[in-house]
Amino acid sequence: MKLPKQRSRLPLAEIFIFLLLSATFLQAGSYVFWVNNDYDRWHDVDCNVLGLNCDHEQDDLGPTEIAKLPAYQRVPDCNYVNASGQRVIPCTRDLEDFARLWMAGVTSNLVAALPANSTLTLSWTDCEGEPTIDLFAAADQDGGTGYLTDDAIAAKQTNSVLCPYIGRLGPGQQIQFTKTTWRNSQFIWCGVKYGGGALTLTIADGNTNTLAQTKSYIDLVDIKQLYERWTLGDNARLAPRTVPVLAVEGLGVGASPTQFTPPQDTNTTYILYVHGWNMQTWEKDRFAETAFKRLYWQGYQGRFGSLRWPTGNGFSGPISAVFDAHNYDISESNAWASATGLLNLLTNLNAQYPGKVYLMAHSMGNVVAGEALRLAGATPVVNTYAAMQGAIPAWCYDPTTTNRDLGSYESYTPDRYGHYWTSNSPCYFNGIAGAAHFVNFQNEFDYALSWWQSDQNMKPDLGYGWSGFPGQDVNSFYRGYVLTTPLGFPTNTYEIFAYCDEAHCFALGAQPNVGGAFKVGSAFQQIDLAGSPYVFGSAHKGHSAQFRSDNMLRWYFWEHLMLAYNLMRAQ
Amino acid sequence: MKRSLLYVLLAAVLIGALVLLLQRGKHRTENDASSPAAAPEQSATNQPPPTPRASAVNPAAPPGTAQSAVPAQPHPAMTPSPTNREQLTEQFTRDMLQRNVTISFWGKVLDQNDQPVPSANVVLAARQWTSAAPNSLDATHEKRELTTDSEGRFELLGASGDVLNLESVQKPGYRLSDKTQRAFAYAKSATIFQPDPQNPVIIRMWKLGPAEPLVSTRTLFGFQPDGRPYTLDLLAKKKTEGENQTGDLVIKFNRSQITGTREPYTWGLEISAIGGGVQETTNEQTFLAPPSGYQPKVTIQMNQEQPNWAPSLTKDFYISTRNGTVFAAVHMEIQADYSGQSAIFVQARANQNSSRNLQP
Repeated sequence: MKLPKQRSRLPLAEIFIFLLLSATFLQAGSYVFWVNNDYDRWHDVDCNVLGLNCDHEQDDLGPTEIAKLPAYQRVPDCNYVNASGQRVIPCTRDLEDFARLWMAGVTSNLVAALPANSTLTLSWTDCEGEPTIDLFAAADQDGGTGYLTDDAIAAKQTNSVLCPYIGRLGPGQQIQFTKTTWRNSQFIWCGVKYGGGALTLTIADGNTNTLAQTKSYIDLVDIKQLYERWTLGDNARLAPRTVPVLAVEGLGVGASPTQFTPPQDTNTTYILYVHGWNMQTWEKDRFAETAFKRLYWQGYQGRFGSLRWPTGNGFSGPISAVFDAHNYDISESNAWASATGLLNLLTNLNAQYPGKVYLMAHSMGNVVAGEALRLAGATPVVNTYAAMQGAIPAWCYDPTTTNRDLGSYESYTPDRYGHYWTSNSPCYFNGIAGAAHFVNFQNEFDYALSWWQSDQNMKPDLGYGWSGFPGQDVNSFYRGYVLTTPLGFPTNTYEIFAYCDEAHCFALGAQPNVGGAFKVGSAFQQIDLAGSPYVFGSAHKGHSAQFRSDNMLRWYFWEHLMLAYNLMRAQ
Repeated sequence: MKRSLLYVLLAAVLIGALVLLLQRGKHRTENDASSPAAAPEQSATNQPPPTPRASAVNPAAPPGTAQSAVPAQPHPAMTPSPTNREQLTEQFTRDMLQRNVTISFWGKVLDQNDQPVPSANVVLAARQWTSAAPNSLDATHEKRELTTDSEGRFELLGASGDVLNLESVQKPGYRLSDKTQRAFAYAKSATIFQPDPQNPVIIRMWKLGPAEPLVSTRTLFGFQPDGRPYTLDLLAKKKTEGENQTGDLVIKFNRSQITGTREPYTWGLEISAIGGGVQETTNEQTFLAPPSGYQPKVTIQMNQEQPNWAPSLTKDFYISTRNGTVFAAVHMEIQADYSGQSAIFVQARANQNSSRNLQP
């Protein structure tokens, strides 16, 4: 989308139309916001094999679940209507796709003082494309952001009686208020169609003479154009690329993948997100987009990107993952191997944003992230690394954490996470220096990290083995059934870790008080996601809680991520 | 004769293959695990050819060089037979189901005056792993509702699972502490909870009184750690440099030079109350400021040599300021190094009507 040359594109921001009762219009750049084209809905989750015992959650639905919706609901949220055909906001999660429209200066006193038959009209001017928005009355009396942070206000905001739909505004259309229909000057709105233009407020008298006019430029784009989507490939049967490329699918016709221009400001920051296991391509993007939105609402104004790597996907649960030919471990192997691609990306990013690159990885994404930061050597390429629900042995960082009893599933493979690769050696990530700061977001009761233990217990995998004796400290790992191939360190480290070597510890994301890189002085750099105010719990949905539910429930997570990153602006 | 020899050799090969097959993968018993070595120990100097994926890894090469042209390659052949997958699935399921243990829990609900809270509704849910059908594994969270007795006690017996969640504790006119532990691990966790009927888990609820208007603050304040004073106005949610008369707290941060991201450094701060005092608290619920016990200032000092040195601290305080017209509960997340400065994330509830009532 082209913008008039005289307009500068401002960072993402909300719109405040300032009404100036003079001939001087507000000179502003163009505000950018995303179109509300996702599918935020309540749905059943984590049902058992009989489809019973379901949990309930608000999520951004994917194609399979959208297809199960009633026909009238199979539309993006910007077109969502209830059974009566009334345009409504589907759920409180959808509110993170709304911004405020605040007509500062248009007070009830001002409206009362206007001549009889005066009108207040919103319209578009200077349009390119089809900029279209939907307007709703705001629940927040003071025009604040309570609809994003407060349960009660959000509930009111999604109540179509209390906060009615005002109307849709596209090019050539107008939303007009009279002195009697005017309620207040606070609204919330979401994007419906792509395009740019000047949202214009015109106050006219009964003879259509303009008394005052002001405008604010808005660009409505696909959210995929607001962040960089890097990929190392999405097919788990293929090895990951070593150099990431920009993803191209899912963009609007004629749209090109977003790649940021070099930053002009040396303080520009970049947050990179790395997803976990069992994510289809669209899910990888949706989680990234949720992270982007929730960081935005925390006031993050820097740049954002995601890195996709080829995880297996489509598994309905742990058994499915195991039954499908140890696909979890194929994914883990890919995760280790994806580290090179991530490091290459981080190196490039750090060259562009020196010392201002922040990394967040979820679940198995922490295998990719941890290994990349190890491969970085002595030079940090990341300012702060947030390990979220990390599905990687805690002993990779700290072999003094809790010893895990494998019981009858013990295969006696040597501990090569805590001691790499002989028994007297330090842990695998000993001295890791790819990030200056490390923070562990952990939940001891995490669902997925519970069966991560059983996955470790099943090692060596089918087609792999270890031929030592119990207590024998030998690296006699091998691949194959009849004609076996020996596997050795360091050449086959990734394969041994993914398929052969049992972790005799808990996952990083389920282990409190992990030392090593996560300890500074006597302080463990960690956030307890089981505790208040997070309470991520022990259910399946809790493993990805930060990407699920609504913004207000997950506010504290993202707030403390910003604090951990030192990116929250201090007063 | 030759044909017989061939048969014998063939049978020997088949038996050998069978032995290797049984030895493959997971050794489920100690005896199995102690089978003779099938492959020699590998060392760095005697390595097999790298796998295709390993060969694609070359972190030293910069982006845009030849490695970016390395095509994606298929995995090594690793597909197991269906029979083995079934066995693996069965073992995996059995291992997960072994997480379920008998769950007992004893709790006691007390109010802010250590008085029992009878007739409180307690909802607990144990995470239990189940396999309702072949190739299925689910975790259920069946809820159990209990009611506290006249001593505020409740007990859960005979549940099964690996984690017990305290879903809710409710009683009209009471508010559960935000710091209540919400989950307890009974099996296969880094920390195992040990239930004890003689020492029930104490759960705090605040007996609510009449609410009063409070000013809430949730703000990150930054400080130059050079000893200069800053005034925090919790009512206006603002920070100004210097010691001002209007405000609640004066903060002075000090910090020595930071020589490395992991190197300890000396830091400290002084928190003074304007027209009143400050006192640290470990109360679980800070809903009523104490009438006395305030000091003009509190000093926090962290010397780089001390064994428990940390770059950050979390503290809770009550403060009385503005000559007794303001009482507040202040939660501080203190970071000695925050983007080159020092910072405190302040969450406060202030009553500006000379009342100690800080109940939200």
